[in-house]
Amino acid sequence: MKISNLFYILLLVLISSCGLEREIDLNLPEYEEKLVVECYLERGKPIQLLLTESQAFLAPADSVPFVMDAKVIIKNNGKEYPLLPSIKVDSIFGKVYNYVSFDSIPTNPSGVFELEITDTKNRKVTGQTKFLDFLPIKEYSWEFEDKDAEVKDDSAKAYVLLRHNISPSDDYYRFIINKKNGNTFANDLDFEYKGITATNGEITVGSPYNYKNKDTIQIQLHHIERQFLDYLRSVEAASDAAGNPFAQPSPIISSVKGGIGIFTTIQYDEAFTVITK
Amino acid sequence: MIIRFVFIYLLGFINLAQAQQKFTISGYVKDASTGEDLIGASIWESKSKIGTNTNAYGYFVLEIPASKDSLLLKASYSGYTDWSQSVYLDKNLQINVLMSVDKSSEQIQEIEIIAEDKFRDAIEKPQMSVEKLEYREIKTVPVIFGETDLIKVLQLKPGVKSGSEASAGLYVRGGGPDQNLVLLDEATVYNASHLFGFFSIFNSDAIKNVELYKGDFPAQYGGRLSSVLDIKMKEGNKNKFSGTGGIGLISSRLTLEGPIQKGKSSFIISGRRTYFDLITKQINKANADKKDYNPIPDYYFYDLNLKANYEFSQKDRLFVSGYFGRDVFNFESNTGRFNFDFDWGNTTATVRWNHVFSPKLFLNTTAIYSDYQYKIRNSFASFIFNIGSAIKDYNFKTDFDYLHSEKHHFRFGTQFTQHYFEVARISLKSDDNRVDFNSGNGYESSEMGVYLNDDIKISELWRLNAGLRASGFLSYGKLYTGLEPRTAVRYKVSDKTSIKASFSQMYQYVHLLSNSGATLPTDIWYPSNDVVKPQLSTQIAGGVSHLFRGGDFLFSAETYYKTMQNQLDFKDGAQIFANDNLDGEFVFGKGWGYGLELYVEKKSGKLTGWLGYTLSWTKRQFADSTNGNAPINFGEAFYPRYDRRHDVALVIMYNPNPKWTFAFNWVFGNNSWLTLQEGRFGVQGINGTNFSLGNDFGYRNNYQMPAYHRADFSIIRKFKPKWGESDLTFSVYNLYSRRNAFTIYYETTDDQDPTFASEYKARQLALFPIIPTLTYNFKF
Repeated sequence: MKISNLFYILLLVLISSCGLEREIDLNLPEYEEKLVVECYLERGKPIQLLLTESQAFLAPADSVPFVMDAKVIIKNNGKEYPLLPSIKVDSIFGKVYNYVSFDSIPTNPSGVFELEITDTKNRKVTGQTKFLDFLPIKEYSWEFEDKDAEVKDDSAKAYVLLRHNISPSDDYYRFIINKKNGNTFANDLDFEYKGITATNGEITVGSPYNYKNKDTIQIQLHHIERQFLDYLRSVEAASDAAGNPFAQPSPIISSVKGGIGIFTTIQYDEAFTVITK
Repeated sequence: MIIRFVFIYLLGFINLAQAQQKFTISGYVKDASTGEDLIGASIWESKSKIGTNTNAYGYFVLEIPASKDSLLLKASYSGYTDWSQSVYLDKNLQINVLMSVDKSSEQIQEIEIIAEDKFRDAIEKPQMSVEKLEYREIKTVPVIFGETDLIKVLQLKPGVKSGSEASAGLYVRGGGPDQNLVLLDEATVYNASHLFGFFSIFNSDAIKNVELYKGDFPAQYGGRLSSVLDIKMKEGNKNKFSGTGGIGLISSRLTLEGPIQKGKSSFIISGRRTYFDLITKQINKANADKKDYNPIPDYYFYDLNLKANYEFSQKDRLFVSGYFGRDVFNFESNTGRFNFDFDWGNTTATVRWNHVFSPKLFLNTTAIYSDYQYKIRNSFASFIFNIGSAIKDYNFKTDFDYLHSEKHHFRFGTQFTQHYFEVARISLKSDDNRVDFNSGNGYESSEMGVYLNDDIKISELWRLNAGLRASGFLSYGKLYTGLEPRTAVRYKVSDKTSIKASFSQMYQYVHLLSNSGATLPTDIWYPSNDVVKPQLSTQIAGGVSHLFRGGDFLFSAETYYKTMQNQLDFKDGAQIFANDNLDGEFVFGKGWGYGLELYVEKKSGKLTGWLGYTLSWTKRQFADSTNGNAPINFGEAFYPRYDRRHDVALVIMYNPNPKWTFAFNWVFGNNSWLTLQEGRFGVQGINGTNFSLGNDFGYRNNYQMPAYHRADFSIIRKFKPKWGESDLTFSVYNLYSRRNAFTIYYETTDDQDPTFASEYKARQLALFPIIPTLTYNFKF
């Protein structure tokens, strides 16, 4: 937890009983809509890209405004991957993309992938990315909070621990836990980090006490680019700073130029397990 | 022609020789009942009109032509009856002036004397841009929760701003909160506030003297760009044991003082502590058996001031003083498997030796220790995570005060400070040793300064204060040096009107790194180095002081222009912790500010107070991207959060009789700037689910919150029980319960978690409604 957030929470506790809030009208500068890109390349898989548009904060919106009239091309080693407008839905993880390619990424890709988007309003977005090494999960475990208690508590929760080795290059990672809820998995934990806390080349990361006995979870370890880490952190920082008077809001650090968003590769190891006492 | 010239020269020499038939009168001015030295007391010989003020240690020296007749020496000081004594001046004299608090003539006369003192300085001295607080003002002006606070009284002076509601921050003439040199008994205080910055660390019961320099900085001060807040602690009652204290809504305090050896040495010990944790502990205890109960964290702060002194002789005196204060925050989970301890605070220690070499040459030598640190200790299951930063100073300084003649009064000295920095020290360990990580840096650097200042009385009309400070900073072979001229001139238009102008430069070699919008205890002090250059401010100011209505009122107007070079801020997305190369995270820039300050004050009669108005602008620009980091705010200049165009403060104190005091203050100003999200976008991520909300913040500080105004009121009823004195203070903060915006945020209209598709409304959050407080104070 960031210290500024800690102060903010304390402040909210302090004033919660005072009823000192009220609605106000704001007179903000006119906002210019920007293209928003999300594209995660995976080895051996077709390219999927989500192209939307930002809007003024207080403007009404029922859904994310998809941009369907853009020309989207990804280039790698002289080969072009045109992406055509088409809605594609991932029902398990609840994801949607509106540009897809016919061709898949090679299973052993090399070199730089370049993105170029131009829309009918003459807005242009560009970006670059490259694939990183696959990084395996070394081990994972969990421990319940009543481990040392003489009287066990049925409602006690467990934390999950993940260990992996550092990568010699691009020392940035992401730890994700998705929890099964019916037939779908919902994200429960997601944080990105640099491998600076390694001990003897091994990194240990963990979750809070979040998991009950018999919870089914999916653990993912991602090896990510620096630009992806910067983007994720800036999105989180902007979210934390929203309404927090102790925080210094910062702009989104996008990996693309000319808009907001991320164009990157993903490579991850994963494990499914049931938490048991 | 030559003979004529020689004759005139010899005549001049004879006159000079005659003029040298002078003697000195020197000594200390003290409170007769307690033996406390009185700082800034006026003392003069009534026939020759030669006068001076006691220095920061209560010492004075006058040089007066010899006379066969008796002379009348007079002294006056705020709140004390005038003192006078006939003397025969046929040799150098040493006199200790003992002044008594005027109790017989009640408070009205007391106030009149205050007026005489303060207003005389405003007309006579070249010094401008200074605010001096009196104990009575600190104790009388109503403040939030009834916690008397000298910083909050200073915030009511022109050119000084608070930053945010009820904050004890200091923003002086467009400067940042880290650009104030805060000295407590000459020791640097690096973080002068408790609890979100709502309360300052200074226990007013232990404070003797407060001076805030907003510009025209005396040459003995260095190291900060924007202001000097010089606070002196009381020395303790040399004659009898006594105590003061108070019981308030937030905290209680107690001060004890008395002689160690009557008339020669004394001590004072003063403490203050808050109660929050005592209440929360009881609540936690009552709910300990509830399964889903989350304990409330414990929080408290405390201060401890200590001082002792010993007079070896009229020529030698030794003082030892110290401060220790901490904010403490503890949390322990029900299972005990998660603990969070967070504490921060200052420690200072000062050993001071005063020596009088000759009546005209006074020495003050001081050894100082100063420390600020914060520590966070976390334990989670079998893991321990600690983080902390600190700055520690060892400081040695020597100041001389030399009266050369009536026309030249020199002050000169030198200072050396050894800084030790601990920057973002982190350790992470596990029981099985598979996690064992340490990071952070320690730095060491030396800061030095020499200065010379001459207070020159050119004529009755013109007086010049010419000063120069040379400073240096050495850090791992990198040496920075700088010359800091400090000059002020006064032209006396009449006995009631003076015109003044000043020029001053200040270097700041240590910097406060903050990645938040407010000053937090976790901000890091960082030295100048190859990459981070010293900050430099240049300020010019001009003004007029005028007495009117028979000298009952003082009007002053000052205008200033200030530039600040080598400002630094973190780049967007900077990584501060677990980063051994912070130099790569900075963006450099500049700042500037200008304004006009108008001030009217009345200090005599039953009704006293002041009205101040400030019109000011301040801006920052971080456009330098030569180190590869993107400029802040797209390289464009922006108003910092604390910029205020208009600022008004009205303070009224009414003493109808010795039993009752009424006080009222009203403040008005443009409110702070705020960075609001201008746009939003949907974030799907690789995890899917519904589109979460992406916040697109626009330019920094793109919105100014609605105007701020507030009135406070207090009534003080004094009692005289057999054992001493006491009072009940009833104060009301925010009298008409104005909902001043502390921040503005967006909220979903359906009160659900925010997503992209939610509908939003803007809401304003205020901190404090009307808050009545009752405080009991006592003195024995």
